[in-house]
Amino acid sequence: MSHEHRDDTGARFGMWVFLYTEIILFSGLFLLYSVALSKFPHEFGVASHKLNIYFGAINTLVLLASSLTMAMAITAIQRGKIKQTIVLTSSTIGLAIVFLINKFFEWSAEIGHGIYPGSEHLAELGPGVTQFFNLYYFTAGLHGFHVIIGATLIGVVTVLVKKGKITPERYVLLENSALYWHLVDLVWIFVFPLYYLIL
Amino acid sequence: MNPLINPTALGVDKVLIYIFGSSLLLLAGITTVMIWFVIRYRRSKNPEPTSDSHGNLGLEIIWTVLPTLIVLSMFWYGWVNYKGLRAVPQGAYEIKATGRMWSWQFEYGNGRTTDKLYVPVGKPIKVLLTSKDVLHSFFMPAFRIKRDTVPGVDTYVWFQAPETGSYDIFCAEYCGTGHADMITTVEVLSPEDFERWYNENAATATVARGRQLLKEQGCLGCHSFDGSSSIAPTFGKLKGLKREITSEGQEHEIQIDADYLRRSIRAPGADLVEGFSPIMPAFGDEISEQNLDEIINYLLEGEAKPALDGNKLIEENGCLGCHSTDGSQKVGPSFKGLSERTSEVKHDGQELKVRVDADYLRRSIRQPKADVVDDYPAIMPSNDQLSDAEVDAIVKELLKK
Amino acid sequence: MSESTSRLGGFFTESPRSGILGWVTSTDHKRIGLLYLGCIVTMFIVGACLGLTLRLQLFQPGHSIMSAQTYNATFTVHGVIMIFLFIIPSIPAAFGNLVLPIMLGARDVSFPKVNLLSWYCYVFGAILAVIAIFSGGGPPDTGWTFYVPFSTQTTTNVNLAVTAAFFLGFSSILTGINFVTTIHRLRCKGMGWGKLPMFAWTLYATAWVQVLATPMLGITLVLIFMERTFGAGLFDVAKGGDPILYQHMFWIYSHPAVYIMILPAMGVVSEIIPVFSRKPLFGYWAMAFSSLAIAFAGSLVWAHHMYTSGMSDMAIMIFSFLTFIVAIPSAIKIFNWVSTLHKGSIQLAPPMLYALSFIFLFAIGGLGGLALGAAAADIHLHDTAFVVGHFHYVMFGGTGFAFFGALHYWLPKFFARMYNHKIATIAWALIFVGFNITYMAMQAVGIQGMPRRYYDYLPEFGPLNMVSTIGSWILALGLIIMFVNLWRGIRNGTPVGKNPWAAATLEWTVDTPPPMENFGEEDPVVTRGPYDFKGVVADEP
Ligand code: HEA
Ligand code: HEA
Ligand code: CUA
Ligand SMILES: [Cu+2]
Repeated sequence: MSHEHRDDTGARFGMWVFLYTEIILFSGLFLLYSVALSKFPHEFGVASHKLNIYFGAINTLVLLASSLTMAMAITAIQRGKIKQTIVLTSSTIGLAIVFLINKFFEWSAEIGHGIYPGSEHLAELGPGVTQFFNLYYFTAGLHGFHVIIGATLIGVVTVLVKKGKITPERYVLLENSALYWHLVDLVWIFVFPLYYLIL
Repeated sequence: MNPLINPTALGVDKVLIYIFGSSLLLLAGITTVMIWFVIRYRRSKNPEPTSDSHGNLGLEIIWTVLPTLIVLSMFWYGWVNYKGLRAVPQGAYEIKATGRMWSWQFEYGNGRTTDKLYVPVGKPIKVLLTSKDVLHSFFMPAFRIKRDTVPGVDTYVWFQAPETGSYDIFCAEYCGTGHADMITTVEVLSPEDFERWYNENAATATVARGRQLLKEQGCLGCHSFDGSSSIAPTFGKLKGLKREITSEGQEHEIQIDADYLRRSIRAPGADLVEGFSPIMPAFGDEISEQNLDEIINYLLEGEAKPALDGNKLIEENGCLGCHSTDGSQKVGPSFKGLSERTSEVKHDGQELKVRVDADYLRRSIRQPKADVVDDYPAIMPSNDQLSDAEVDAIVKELLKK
Repeated sequence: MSESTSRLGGFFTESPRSGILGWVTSTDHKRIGLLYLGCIVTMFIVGACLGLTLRLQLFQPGHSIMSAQTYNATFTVHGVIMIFLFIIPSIPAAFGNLVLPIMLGARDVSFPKVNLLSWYCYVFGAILAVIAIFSGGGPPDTGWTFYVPFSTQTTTNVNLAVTAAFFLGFSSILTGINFVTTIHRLRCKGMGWGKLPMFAWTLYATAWVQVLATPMLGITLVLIFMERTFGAGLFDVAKGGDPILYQHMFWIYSHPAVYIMILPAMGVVSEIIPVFSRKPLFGYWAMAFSSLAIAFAGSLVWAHHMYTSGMSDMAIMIFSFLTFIVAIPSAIKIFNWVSTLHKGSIQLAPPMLYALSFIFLFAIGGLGGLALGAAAADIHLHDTAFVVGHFHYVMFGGTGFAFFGALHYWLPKFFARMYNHKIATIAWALIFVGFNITYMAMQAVGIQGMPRRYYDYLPEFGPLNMVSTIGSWILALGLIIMFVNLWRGIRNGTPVGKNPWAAATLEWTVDTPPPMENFGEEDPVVTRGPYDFKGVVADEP
């Protein structure tokens, strides 16, 4: 392109619009959740006690921390501290991986107890509990998928920072990946209380 | 559409006529104006535009307000008449309808089931709808009524036929291969014909009727058929059973017979079965003599099992939704000439030639997916609702065809 | 394609890379637009031929050219192709990409790379859809609505089909984001909101619907996939689920989707009518805001597809009411278009013929929609051929005709050649007549009570179905003539200059075909309104 036109505000704006779509994507699942909850308030309480709250709490802390490192990365690049930026983004990725490992253990534990979508054990536990765990697995699964995407995105950004493609003058891509990461965090902030803490 | 005059159709048609009518006027108006402008201001006659008006607030307001009023009237009219479709008149006659791939089953008060809907003329009918597998929709164009049947959910429609005759029933919600074959009719009979039809093959009728009376009289509030109730002695096939009873203070054993039962109903205090307290109310003329006989007969005999009629089962279980009896191709293979057929089937993976015999047929009813006849989709549901006896009855019939 | 276009200048030749590679890797909005156009027209032809076979099957009762299963698969594929691969991307993705940036005085969309990505998503989705037809348990047979529980039970290839639809939805979202941002950020100097061509306004409204509604489709399709793989029972009553809930989720997207289809079409018509009556668009602001009103109100009426589903009567009342509210902005548009003709100087060029017939056909379809929106009437009409007639009127008679109008209006600009007007007019007449015969008969038989998705029907529905089928042949004939004429036009029609129609929007001020970057060194500055035709003259052919 001869006319290399640049519009950071536009880029940020576009990202925000994209985040709306993500929110609506998840809101579909939260919609199902609210309907099911109003249908089986008691069973949902029972089911949510089957979840290991420690896994959930730790993961919440991990994600909050990762959001923090991501925010710091932006200030770092604004201050022109490239090294620090790279360290911070990398640690965000690290935390994302911790989150996923944590989730892996949590899920394998539950699946070990025969609790997974379509399992006979769930069927025995009755419709309310079944719905709870179906939604739990699908929501958490979709969220986990977003964690993977976000981490990859940040990985790319880190490389670009190394290569000097993202500079203190031009870092909107970093900003956008941070925005995306905050969304992933935000969704979890809803998932955690709804599934681990209710009643 | 059908000229039949009936309450539900009248309600819907009023709305259709109002909306289509006013729409037609609007359309005609808009189109004529459009065409007139095109002719009047065509380039050859009007080489230059004679106005460059950008708009006119007054007009905008007019054609915002007018349509609003029009559509609101349409909405209101449609809603009011819709409520009529849901408000079932008092004393409507209830019939259960079950949709399943791909046929309808109707069940009547006396437990009788059919694949056509039989109703008395001039009486409001409430059809209780449900489904066994996927979504279906109960649609009777002549009465302008339609309602989806949803598995595990009960809903209803009502209608009333002012004259006898036969009208179509369709399945209007797409439900798979046989969707278009899920057609039957409602047969509107005169009250006498309906009464006759309702009571025919007495065997099932009266037995079930005895039970019906027990229910109506509230006997089943205290008595059970399976010993589940501890308030009062258990029903079931009572004939000849021995009972320890106390009458006028002294205990003795009797064999249950008609007189005993009659007494215990008319004058329950007279003799009291061991271990139960004297709480049963006496039944006087609220039970007519003839009804009483039916009850007693029922209590003595229990459910008399009528001989299973294979053809009736085939009809009621919707087999004919997919299989023809005249050799014509439908969703599944025809029943015609089954007995002397060898069909080529796919039996877990490999092609086989099988001689059609009782075992084969029994298998294809119990596990339809086990061997699938070539060139037919593997979509037959496994009919778990059938008892082995019923399956045998069906097979016997099939081999005759 | 490269061979046929080698004679052309502009964005056809100026390109970093040459040949096919230069096309499939180009981020230029015009090239992407043409790529879309090619795919979309192909998809339309495929889907349309399937539609023709549907009509053949229904030519008369009993006689059947295909089995029930084949018929079910055919209308499912026909519906999926027409909705997700033809009509939703038709005008926004093809003509939006071609002309929107130029109209705004921009050199490209805000995110050219994302734009290309969205085209790849579209192609990927299309390929998956085709694979779904020819692989696995056979073509999907659920109808384009994928209603549970049937869609979770059928053994046919539903998984691939929903995955395909998912990618198509994603492509649509990306386009939406691009357009919203572009319209906000890249309007050239002087292009205030009040100078925006109506096509841009409608695309703006459309883009918001695409962005806010499509994700709901995404999640719904994912859930079907999950249901089929895990048998979790999200929509299974026995397991505490609710099949009606699925219908809500599906229509929360799919009703707004119908306004994704119609709004850009309304935009095209609002461009064509002023140009061919040499008069400003009547009630500019009314038109602009009614577009936004349709987008907004249209997002609140989804459950009017579910009057018989068993939801509460209260819900039925509310949704019926809202449905009628949506009709008002559409009415406003109709009246403004007609008034634009008043005292104009009207030339019945092919694009104008399509624009005017759009008004007529959309009015019929929309007024039919009112009958469907009324609770009592819909109980009778729901899931009958009348609904099928309704949506062919609005989708094909509405959006389809606007799409054909757009082809006749803008293709000369991008291929620098004019098709034969006489043949175009004959083709239009055939299409118009054939269309009305086909779908009027279909609506009538629906009122008689013939359910939709029936591969065979009772004799009483025979005559009208036969009429409808015969109509579809006239329609087909017209369409073939139209496509052939356009094809010959762009290959070797008479050359045209910058502005064959004497239109006032920006795309007609740049060279034909437009150059890369659209504008020369310095950006354009807009001083006149989009429909201010004073002193604008058509260049002589
Ligand atoms: C381009 C797509 C499109 C558009 C624009 C519309 C527009 C409308 N549709 Fe339609 N519709 C579909 C595509 C579309 N529809 C599809 C695909 C289906 C079936 C899906 C399926 O089941 O497969 C469907 C089904 C459908 C149903 C469900 C039917 C059923 O299954 O039972 C309903 C019910 O309310 C409905 C209503 C409406 C209404 C009120 C409008 C309104 O927006 C119409 C507004 C327009 C006008 C009102 C006419 C123009 C105005 C005038 C002529 C001026 C005079 C008017 C007045 C004074 C009011 N539509
Ligand atoms: C924009 C959308 C669109 C369009 C344009 C069409 C176009 C057509 N449709 Fe379709 N239709 C749908 C969308 C559309 N349809 C949808 C969404 C459904 C619901 C599916 C479902 O129930 O799930 C449906 C369902 C549907 C049914 C109902 C099936 C049923 O319920 O039983 C029928 C039946 O007649 C039908 C027929 C047709 C016909 C005859 C055309 C005609 O317009 C076709 C006319 C065109 C041709 C006959 C082809 C002409 C030939 C060419 C263009 C080739 C030329 C090539 C060169 C010159 C190179 N369609
Ligand atoms: Cu049952 Cu369609
Ligand atoms: Cu709708």
